[in-house]
Amino acid sequence: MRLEERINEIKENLSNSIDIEQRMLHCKGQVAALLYLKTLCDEQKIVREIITPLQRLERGSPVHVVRSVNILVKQDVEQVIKQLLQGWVLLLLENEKNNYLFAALKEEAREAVEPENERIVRGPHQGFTENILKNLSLIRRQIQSKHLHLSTFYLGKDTHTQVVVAYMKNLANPILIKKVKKRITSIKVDQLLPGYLEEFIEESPASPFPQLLNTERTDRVIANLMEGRVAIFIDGDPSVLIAPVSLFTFYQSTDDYHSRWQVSSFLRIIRLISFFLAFQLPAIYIAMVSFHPEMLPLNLTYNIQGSLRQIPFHPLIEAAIMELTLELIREAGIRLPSRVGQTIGIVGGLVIGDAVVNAGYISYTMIIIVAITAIASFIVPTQEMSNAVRLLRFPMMFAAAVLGLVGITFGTMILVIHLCRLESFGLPYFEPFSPLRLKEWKDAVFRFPVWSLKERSNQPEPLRKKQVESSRRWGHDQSE
Amino acid sequence: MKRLKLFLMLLVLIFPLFLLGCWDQDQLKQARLVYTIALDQASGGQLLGSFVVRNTTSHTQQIETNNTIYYAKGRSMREMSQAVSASLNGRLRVFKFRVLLLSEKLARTQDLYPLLDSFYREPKSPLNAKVGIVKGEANEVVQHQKIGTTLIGEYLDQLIEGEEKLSVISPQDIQSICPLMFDPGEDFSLPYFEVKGNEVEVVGAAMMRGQRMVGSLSRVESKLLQMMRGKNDGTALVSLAIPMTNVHSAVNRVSFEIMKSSPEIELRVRRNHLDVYYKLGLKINVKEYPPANLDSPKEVSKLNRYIEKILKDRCKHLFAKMQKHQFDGLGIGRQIIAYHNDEWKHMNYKEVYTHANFYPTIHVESKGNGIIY
Amino acid sequence: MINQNKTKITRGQFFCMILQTQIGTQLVSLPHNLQETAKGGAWISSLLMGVCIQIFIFLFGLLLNRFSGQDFYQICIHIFGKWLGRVLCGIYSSFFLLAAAFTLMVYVKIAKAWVFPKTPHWFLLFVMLLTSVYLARSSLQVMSRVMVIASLFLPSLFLLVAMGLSIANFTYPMPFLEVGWLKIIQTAFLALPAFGGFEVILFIYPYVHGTNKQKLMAASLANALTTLIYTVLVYTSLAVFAPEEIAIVPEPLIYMLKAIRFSLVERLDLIFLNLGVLSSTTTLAIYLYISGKGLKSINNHIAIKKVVPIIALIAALLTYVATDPFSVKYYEMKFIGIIPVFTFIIPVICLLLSFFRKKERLS
Repeated sequence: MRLEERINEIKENLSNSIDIEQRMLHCKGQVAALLYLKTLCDEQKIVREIITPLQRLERGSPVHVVRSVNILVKQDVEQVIKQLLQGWVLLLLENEKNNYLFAALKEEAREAVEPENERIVRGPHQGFTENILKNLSLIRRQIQSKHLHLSTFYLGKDTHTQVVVAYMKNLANPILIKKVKKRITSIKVDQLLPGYLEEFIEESPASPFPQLLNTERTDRVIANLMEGRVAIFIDGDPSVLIAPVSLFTFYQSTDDYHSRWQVSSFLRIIRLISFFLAFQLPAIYIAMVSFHPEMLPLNLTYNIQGSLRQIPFHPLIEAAIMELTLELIREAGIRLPSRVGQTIGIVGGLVIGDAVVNAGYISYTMIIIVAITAIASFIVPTQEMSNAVRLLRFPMMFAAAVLGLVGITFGTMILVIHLCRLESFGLPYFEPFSPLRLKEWKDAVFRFPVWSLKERSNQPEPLRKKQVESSRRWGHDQSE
Repeated sequence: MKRLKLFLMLLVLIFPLFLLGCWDQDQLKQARLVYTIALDQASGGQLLGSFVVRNTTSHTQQIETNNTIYYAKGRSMREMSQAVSASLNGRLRVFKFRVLLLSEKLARTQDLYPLLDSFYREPKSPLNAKVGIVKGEANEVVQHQKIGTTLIGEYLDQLIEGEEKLSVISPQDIQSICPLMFDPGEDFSLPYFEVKGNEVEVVGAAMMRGQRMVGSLSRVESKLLQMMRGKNDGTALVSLAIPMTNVHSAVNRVSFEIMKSSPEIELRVRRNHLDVYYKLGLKINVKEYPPANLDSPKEVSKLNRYIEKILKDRCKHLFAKMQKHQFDGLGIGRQIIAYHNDEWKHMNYKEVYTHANFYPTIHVESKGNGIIY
Repeated sequence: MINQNKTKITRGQFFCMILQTQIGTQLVSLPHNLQETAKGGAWISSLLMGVCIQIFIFLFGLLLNRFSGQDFYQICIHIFGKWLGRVLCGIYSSFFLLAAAFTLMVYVKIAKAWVFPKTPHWFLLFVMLLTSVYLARSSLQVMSRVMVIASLFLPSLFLLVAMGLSIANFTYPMPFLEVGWLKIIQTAFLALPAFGGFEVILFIYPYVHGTNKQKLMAASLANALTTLIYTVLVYTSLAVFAPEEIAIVPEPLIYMLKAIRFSLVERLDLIFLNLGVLSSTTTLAIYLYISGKGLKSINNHIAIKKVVPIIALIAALLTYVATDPFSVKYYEMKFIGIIPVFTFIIPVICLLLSFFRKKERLS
């Protein structure tokens, strides 16, 4: 085949896109063509590392002179196209059948700044970027272990997205790894956009609970890798998926390990209480005022009755209106630039809140309840769980409006049964509660001092349990 | 199958919407809460009930409360509340009901349980409401509407609670008198009110034998009864006259707080004959003692012996009074049932009780004297 | 666990499972039922029943150890042969169906009396069955996990006792032996429905990790704890209510709580009722599961998941036999009559037959 034809074939395969750059040059005394996608490649790099050495080449293989890090020699056009699409440069020589491919991807990574939605007070302010290589390098740099294992998959027939599964070979359970890999390889789609992967590999799509942890924080991923979990990186997505998870993983913040353990334990308990408040409080209020007013203490009864007198709605409707309004305000605030967002907060929170009470549509007590609920749901350190919890309170409110407290009991029971049934990659989701492991409450419910957490959490069933040897022996050492 | 599942789930989720306002809702908004009920005897064997309903209205930020009284005649609690409902906007609810007042006449002629039956039967009723007896007409008390700045129901509630804390009357509510009404071996007393001008006072306790009132005790007697039952740990304050030491002073009382009273009852039961050996150990804290000479142990024990002597007389006196009314406030019958069951089955207890011999011994120990001697 | 056989449960879970099956809604009327005939000796009756059941738990252990790895359904087929054994499985399955229906009946009765006088029967059944069928359709392992969580609420029963004792009069139950030992022993059998549920040992035992001795220990401990809780609760309510009063209060344990006033919440009885709902849901789920398992042992193609809703539906229909408290009581008495046949007599016959069979084989 002539050189022209070969060039055209490649161009055809790439849909004659306008960003295909073609550079003719002389090399080894024959005509050669360089082909690359200029939107992907670093042109300075090409000049410096590929063109200059090639032009000087007299004899021998181009492989020996080109200064690129990666060089491939391929025959198959399909594979050549694949590499071109990943930012490689193709060299075609008139008299040679070989297709030479040189890596020249443009490095376009933003700074590893702190993620907006997972801010912490103390600890490393570093987050992942959209560039997978950069992300992996962040991990590599901090786990300098020969056991850190990375394996790559390309998913999506068209998008061909790179997905990297990372785990500690000496910690992660091989059965778990097999499961993760099997689920990833069985994905067959045209396009794998960053957010898709989670839905493809989670176990129970019907559950409102997130079954993979989504995080942009490097330290979080590292901590989880060291617990024997698997991290899944997706190219183009700064958030990394972690599996398997338990409910309590979502309630742990990396902050916890940077402040004193008493404080952290206290905060963890507050968060767990907030978990219940966030979906139970409006329901309990509805049950109280519409089913069991006799349960309220004497003076509270009269107070609440006074504020309820003028309200035209059933408490459930009242609560639903307020909760929905709150969601509206929240949703409106997210999309708008931060300065306008503040105005929304003021208009929503202050103006509507005040007006609605003065107009006699909603009672004061309800406003208080809804506000507490909202704050309780924002306490959750992870976004997905916060959303899940907010969603849960609506069925709970219905249950309370139909059967009062007993309805709430049934609702909670169904929820607990659901949590007990739920599994994340075959591992129990509700772990230190069910199966009950009081020992692990040390790190799941409270946060004991790090040196006392001698064993890893059993939830991902790591190969090695011990993580801290006795590190404070100096306390017993008399000769100190 | 999948579709059926989805359908079922939707059904479960949407279902409740149709059930709103169904069945067993009890909206606080619509409830008209009764705070106090006063019962009197009306003509023709009917009862006259005065239902104090508390209204709460809120004007934007502050909450105002006031009372409305509804009168109704009927032959039972339920009949009366139905009659009240007829003239009431909203639902008459009793779940925050606090005080039930009975006129003395009613309490003496009418069994208590039939009046309370509807409260025991209804799961929502407050069994911790108080019961009191009023000298004269009970509705006179509630007609006061307000005493000082406090609404009458709340006032009575707080009054009773305060007197209970001072051990003037025994703490009883609708539930706690229930076993006592049924129990042949123990009787109970209820607070006894009297209207004095613009005020309502607790003048003592009404002795209830079984389910009827048989007599009354003064405040001092009632407090003594509490002490004899060993139920006045805490703040019961007793004042007694002391022998004149200083002729010029009109104030010659010793007052002491009872820190702990521990009674022991020993019974000798023979057929139709009962001896009650009553032993009471008292630990007291002197609160007022003008002679101020408790620095010597001799004086202290002298004071103790003196108090013992006076209390012993009073106990005897009180017991005699209770015997006269066949009122078993100490629960002696209970002891016989529990420990002398065979004799109990063959005796006419009330008769035996009236003729029982009472041998009290009292041992007083001063445990404190404040910050001076 | 990621790789393990998912059908086995731990001893702790086994313990909680028995506890949750034993403690059910029948508990609330136990003091009343026993006091009716045993008077002050009611608590002795409940203690005696516990001891009696303990003896049978040891006999069960003997039987189950002879056929290790098999549950009672399989043992039946083993001993009685394919046909008779399967018939017996069917009978046992329907016994548990009855037990489920009975649990439902009592739950509806109490719910109607205490919280939902106007809510229709079918709706109360619907929510209860929704929850318990959802639970019963899970694996044994998931069920046992839920039981463990449910057991975390048991200490609140002791709180209940403590509160009751604060208003108790300890001379009310005295004299304990007023009606004599004979009557107290007879009365003990009335406690059977409340203690009922220990028979699930026969069906879960082979699916528990541990040695025979450890498993029996767990079962005995569960029974001992149940007995202790029941006895203390019965004694407390005897001491709170006068003898004449307890006779007119059908659910003394709930009633006791109504009298206590708390500063934060009033009507503690409602909170207790919710705990009762919790424990009857778990009891019901286990009965449904075991009933379904019986059908599966008749025909291996039947999936427990699929039959459980059908069993639940039949149980729900059965409750329409008795919808008012008086007829519930009537059927309760009838039911007490058949419980010993299934929990005591048939297992013991099996045990005897298994001895006999072995001797036969030896000779």
